[in-house]
Amino acid sequence: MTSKVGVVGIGMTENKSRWDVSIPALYRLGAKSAYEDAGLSPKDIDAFVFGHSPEYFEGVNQPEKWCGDAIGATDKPLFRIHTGGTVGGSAAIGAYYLVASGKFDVVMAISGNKLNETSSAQIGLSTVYDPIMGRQFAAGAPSAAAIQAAKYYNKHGYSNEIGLKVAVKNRNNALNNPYAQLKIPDYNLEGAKNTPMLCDPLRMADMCPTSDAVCAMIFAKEEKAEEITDKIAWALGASSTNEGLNYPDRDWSKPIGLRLAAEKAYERAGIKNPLKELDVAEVYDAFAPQEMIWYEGLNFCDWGEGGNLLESGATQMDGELPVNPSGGVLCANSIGAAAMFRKAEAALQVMGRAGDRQVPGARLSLGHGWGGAIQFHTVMIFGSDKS
Amino acid sequence: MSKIGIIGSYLTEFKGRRENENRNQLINETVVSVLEDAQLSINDIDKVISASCDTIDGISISNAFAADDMGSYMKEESKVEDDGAYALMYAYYRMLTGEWKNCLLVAHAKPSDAGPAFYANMSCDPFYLRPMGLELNTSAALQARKYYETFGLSEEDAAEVAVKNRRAGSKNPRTQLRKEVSVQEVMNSSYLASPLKELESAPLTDGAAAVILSTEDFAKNAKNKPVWIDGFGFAQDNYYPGNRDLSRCNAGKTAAQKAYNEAGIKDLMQEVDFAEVCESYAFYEMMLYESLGLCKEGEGIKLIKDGVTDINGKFPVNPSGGTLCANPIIVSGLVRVIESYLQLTGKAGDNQVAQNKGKALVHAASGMFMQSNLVSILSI
Repeated sequence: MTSKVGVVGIGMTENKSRWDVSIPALYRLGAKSAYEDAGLSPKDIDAFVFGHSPEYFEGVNQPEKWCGDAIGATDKPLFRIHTGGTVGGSAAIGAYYLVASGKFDVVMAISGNKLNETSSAQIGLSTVYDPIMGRQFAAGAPSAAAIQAAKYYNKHGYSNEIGLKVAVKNRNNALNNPYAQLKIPDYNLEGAKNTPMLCDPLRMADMCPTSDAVCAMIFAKEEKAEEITDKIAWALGASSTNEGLNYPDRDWSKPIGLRLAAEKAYERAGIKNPLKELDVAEVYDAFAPQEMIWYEGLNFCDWGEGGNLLESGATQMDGELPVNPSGGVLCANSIGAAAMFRKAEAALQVMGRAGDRQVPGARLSLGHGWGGAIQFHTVMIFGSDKS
Repeated sequence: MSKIGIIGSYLTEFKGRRENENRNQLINETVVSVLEDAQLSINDIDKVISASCDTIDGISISNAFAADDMGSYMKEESKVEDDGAYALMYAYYRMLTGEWKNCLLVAHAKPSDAGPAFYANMSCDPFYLRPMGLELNTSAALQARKYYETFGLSEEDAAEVAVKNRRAGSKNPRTQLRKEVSVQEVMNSSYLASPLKELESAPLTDGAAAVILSTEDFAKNAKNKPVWIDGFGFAQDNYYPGNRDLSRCNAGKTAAQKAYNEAGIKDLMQEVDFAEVCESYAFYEMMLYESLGLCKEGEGIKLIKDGVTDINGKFPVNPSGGTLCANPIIVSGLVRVIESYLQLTGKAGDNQVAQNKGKALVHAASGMFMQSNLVSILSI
């Protein structure tokens, strides 16, 4: 690594369904929030890494061309990364590496979607599948997540309702997050069990909402970061991986691609025992059962032990490794920003600036992203200390 | 800091429609062949970056179902949704951190499946530009008209650029249009959108391209002589054409200056042998001469008339024939990189140009009205 890299500013828009702004205007709000947070202006930014998920959601090709002016990138270096649900993570990782290369001092990563522009995000998600071999039976993301959940429950003998416990944990956490969309007082297991079945074994309570949101992160090289602020989240390691297609013997409930990403990121950050060493994690729980599956991929526990880790209370706010203090993707999902929110929330925790959702004394955190057709993963590690 | 070098490349055959292959077959052919060229196995690759466009592919997250053919299964991977030259830029900066040794970079597109007009009109915002029906030809025509009127140029002037590039392309076995044209033929070809005519516009092209990038330690021992990346610059201009002076390519100028800074270039003509640029319409090449600093504003035509940028000239531009001879959208910028790599390593063939400095300039563009530009300097 040529230069140490710190996060010096974070911008977030509230996750909700909104009709008061266009796509560029929403990006502008996200960028403005990051500029204000870091006390910087567009002239301080050397390059922009722009994230945005499939064009099919909003019907605009090359949205980065349209939105560049709105975020202050006119006549500046800007390029777009697009990796589906992981895009926010991929853009953050992109900005991190541009700074780490030693060629850029300050880089903004910004990512989002305005999902309410489409009649259904599931149309854009079904076109992920190959037009000849697969699209005929594609039914959006919930159908795939249901197969994944059923496999997980059956293989390890967990009850179909254990996922709802993730939902209860995260939805109660979301009450402390001003940027979350779903904030339901007195959310409990009984209520979650009574929600309608959407795609067996997934109930409505297992589902994420549809949000419009943008998230932005400003990365700076060591000396520059220390000039800008004294509350820095140091980026200690990152990885983005591809687990490949739906080959016949692939086990969707055993994310070996995530394990690879985690191992790479842990190695780069010098982490040996993630459950013990990490203070907080934000994972991409678009569907409740996935959180337990990601525990395993992230090596918080052995394969098959995710449900037991949840039941032990270790991932509750007062547990050994709180997971999703923000409420996670279950409480806010714009897809384009969701994976960056995970990284931004993880960074805020080690800056000690996470407000009511702060894990006391957090010094080492992880942000995860998931996307594609269950095969992309991004992992980033942040610390209060430089190494 | 370690240097980063290109140690292998592959270009598919470029033609208007690759009728008998689907997208994944193109990717597979490209990846297998580039590994062969560099004499590496897929196990030597520890990072894959691709460039493609969902709108052209007709597939959301279009790298998701390409992993098998791309060789990215259980590897670190990312996708840039822009020209392949942007993916190269991203891969280059990542490689500089020293976390990887060999990176495979693939750009692919089958615009014959989607139609370039659809692709471009979808790039227009839904409120102002899209209802006007703007697409590639009409937007470039507006810009050409502005450029001609600002600097007193004629349609014949632009035709001479097409003649020059088609002449170079006639010697290049790797390109699509390999037949020379005359000024008269260009002038007699039908209008696509006045003042732009068919023979001064890039053709529709299906194709894919790939390179392998390596850190210095690996590149030095590679089978092929490496070509080093000296620096990059890129920039994006204002989106709305009404907010810009369309007779200039400001982002091209900004990108060039950044690339020259990073590569330590003071005087392009003195320090670099030749350039490969993305001129999807003939007049763009003259405009780019001005942005890249080869001449003053409005004087691009002089370089053409004086033969300076001819394949046998003092500073050849587009010895490959440029995008006027083959224009696989998303891939074109990476084709410029590969054509320059072949020139610098003496493997270009009949269109090989003489060199004594061992440096090349590569330019790529994306977006309507050449909104985004990228410049890179390569050296042997």
